[in-house]
Amino acid sequence: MSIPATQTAAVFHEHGGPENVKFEEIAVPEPGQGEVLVNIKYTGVCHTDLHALQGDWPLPAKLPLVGGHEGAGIVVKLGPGVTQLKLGDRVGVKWLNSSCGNCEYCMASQESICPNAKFSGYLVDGSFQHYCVANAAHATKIPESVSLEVAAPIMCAGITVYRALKEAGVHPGEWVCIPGAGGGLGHLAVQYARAMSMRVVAIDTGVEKEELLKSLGAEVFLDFKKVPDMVEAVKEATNGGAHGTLVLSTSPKSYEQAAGWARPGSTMVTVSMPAGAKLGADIFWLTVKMLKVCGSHVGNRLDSCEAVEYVARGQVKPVYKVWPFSTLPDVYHAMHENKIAGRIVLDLSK
Amino acid sequence: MFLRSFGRQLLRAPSSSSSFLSANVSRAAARSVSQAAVYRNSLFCGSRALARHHHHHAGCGCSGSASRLTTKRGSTAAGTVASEISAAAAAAGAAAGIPRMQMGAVITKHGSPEEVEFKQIPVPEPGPGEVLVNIKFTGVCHTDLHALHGDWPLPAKMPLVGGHEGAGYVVKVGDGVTDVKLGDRVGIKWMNGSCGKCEYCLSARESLCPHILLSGYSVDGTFQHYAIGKADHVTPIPDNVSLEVAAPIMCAGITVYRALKEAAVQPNQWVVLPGAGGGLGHLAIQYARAMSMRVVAIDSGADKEKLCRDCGADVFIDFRKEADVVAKVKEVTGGGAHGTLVLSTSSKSYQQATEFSRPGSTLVTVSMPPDAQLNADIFWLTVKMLKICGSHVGNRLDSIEALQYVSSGAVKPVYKVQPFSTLPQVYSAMEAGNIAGRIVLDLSL
Repeated sequence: MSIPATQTAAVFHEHGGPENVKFEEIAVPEPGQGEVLVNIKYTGVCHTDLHALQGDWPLPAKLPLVGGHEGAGIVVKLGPGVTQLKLGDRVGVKWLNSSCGNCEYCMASQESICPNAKFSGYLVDGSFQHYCVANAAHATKIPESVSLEVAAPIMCAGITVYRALKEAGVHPGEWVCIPGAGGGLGHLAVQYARAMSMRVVAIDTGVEKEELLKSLGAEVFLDFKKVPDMVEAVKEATNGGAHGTLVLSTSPKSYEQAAGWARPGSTMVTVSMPAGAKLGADIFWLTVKMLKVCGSHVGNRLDSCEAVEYVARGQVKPVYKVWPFSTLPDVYHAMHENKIAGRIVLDLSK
Repeated sequence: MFLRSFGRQLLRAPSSSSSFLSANVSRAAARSVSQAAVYRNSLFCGSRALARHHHHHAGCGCSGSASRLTTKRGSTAAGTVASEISAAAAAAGAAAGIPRMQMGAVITKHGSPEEVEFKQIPVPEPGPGEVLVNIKFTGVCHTDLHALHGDWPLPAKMPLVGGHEGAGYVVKVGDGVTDVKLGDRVGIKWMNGSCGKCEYCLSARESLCPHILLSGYSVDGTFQHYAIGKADHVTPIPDNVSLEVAAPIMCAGITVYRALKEAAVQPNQWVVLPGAGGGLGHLAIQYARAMSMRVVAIDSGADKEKLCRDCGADVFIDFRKEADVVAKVKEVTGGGAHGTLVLSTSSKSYQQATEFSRPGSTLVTVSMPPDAQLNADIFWLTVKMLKICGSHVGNRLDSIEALQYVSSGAVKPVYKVQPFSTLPQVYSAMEAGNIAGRIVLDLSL
């Protein structure tokens, strides 16, 4: 196949609103040592991409920047020294574009906290382009039975909730409570949780989300706009409190409530990363109840493979809509207004 | 059942060969040993192999030689303080020697140290599954102060006999008690009893039992001469650990020991201890070193620095002198703490801890100030994949293990013995933040 010299990419030169995103012709990059060039066919849009655009995170981004980190495509070129992948391999490009491989974190399979990690669509150009460079050790192989458009949202949302559920330490038959269960991450979390034999209390609002979540296996749905005392409601539904909580919603109230409905000795996992939000935990109750609060984001390379396998086995099915690549600014708008149910996947060919 | 006999195996008691000492003689001896408050290190330097025939050697620091009373049969219970009575003695004397009334430190309402009244109260009767313990020594824990003030969001029993770091002898056993015998040397801790059959008790997390009984809080505690404990929960004290040394381990020791396990710091990795110079802190340093961790102690002042270093801290940071504590911790640990136990009570400590923590590491909250909030920045918590974990006391096995470290000489509490009657002053000193190490009250004074 012939690779062009230039390509259309969604670039922004300054932080700001969706109007800053420009579709420009840029050079097709060359894969370096240990890297591959991936022809991106589909890419998800993650809330982190909005943070990158807005520049509201205490972590400086590369500028100008091609965003995006839920890419799925085909390997079209191999850089020197690549042995893990072949031309034509179907792979995903995730948040963790690469890590150093040799530090105390990488060597303990915690590559997402490698101090020299490179983040796609943040520190290096990401998946909002047709041809994207990725580290061969980190690009996740996608089985033939999983279509690229389905794999895309798994590359961040799926992996992240999967790993977070492991961190939550909920055993089969025990209850996980998921505030914000109706969103892009939430609906995947419910499915992974069920596939991992957990029982699920889903918290969100509206009939549509209730129907979706129950169809995905949530045993209990609590509407935060209707339930007067959420803490009591969860404790009752779980006969004593949640054995684990994944806080997917971004409201600070969720964290406080979670400490209230948490079973003693259980873990609350923070997943969302709202800028400036504080976890205001009452130390007294944290200590008396021996609660654990644990931050989790993305997953390591093995988590990533495993997350995709759940999809390959049919246990997890992302709910998504395919929109043309050119609609990226509209996606950002909708995201900003919290109007997206499930995930938007962009088709790079349109 | 298995667990208790396992615990017994760990602490095999040699059959006693010393005989009964009269109560009067032992009290006089006790007085001579601790006339006024004296600073002492733990009494035992020896290994358990030496327990029966303690040979004092240079530098052993053991004060077993101070007024060691020989028993009628001539052998000396190894290194025990003069006031200790043998198992046979307690068994022989128990039935005859238990009074109907006793002196207890009682409060009838929450308030200041003046609320503490020393008065005659009935000696309780052990029910089924319970034992009556003759408390010889008791520590005073900050929680007891909270119970006095009534400033916790957890209601206490009233009237209340406080205290939960007690060490003494079993002098009576209730029905159905088979694993604990008259004369056994035991500790009564915060967890006085638990139900034994809920999901928490059945998973070795009895301190989370919804039916937990709390000594000195929901049931009367150790600020009295005779206290009730559940047979399944009183902790056996190794023979070579004196009761006054065991007392502060009953809460402070167990708590930091369990917290260090929760911190999940591997051998040779760094644990950071803000508040390392206090009652819990100086024990935490020693347990951490015994668990092969490397220790950064954070506190202030020359006295605390000396204490921390004597206890084995690899690095001491004075927070009043160090301009940038976070940077210093990251520097000395080559990247940040692998685990942190927050023993100090200032909110700033929690904030700094999240900053000097290595990614992926655990921060354990141990102190329980009533209104303190953990204001952790969610962003960094999530990006760094930090774990914040609350821990208090430990389960029954942790308790036995915590005493093992003392028995082997790895951990030596620093404490001051004072008369029982000085409890109100201890509370005042605690309110003023004036206590270094632990105060242990001698019930006989």
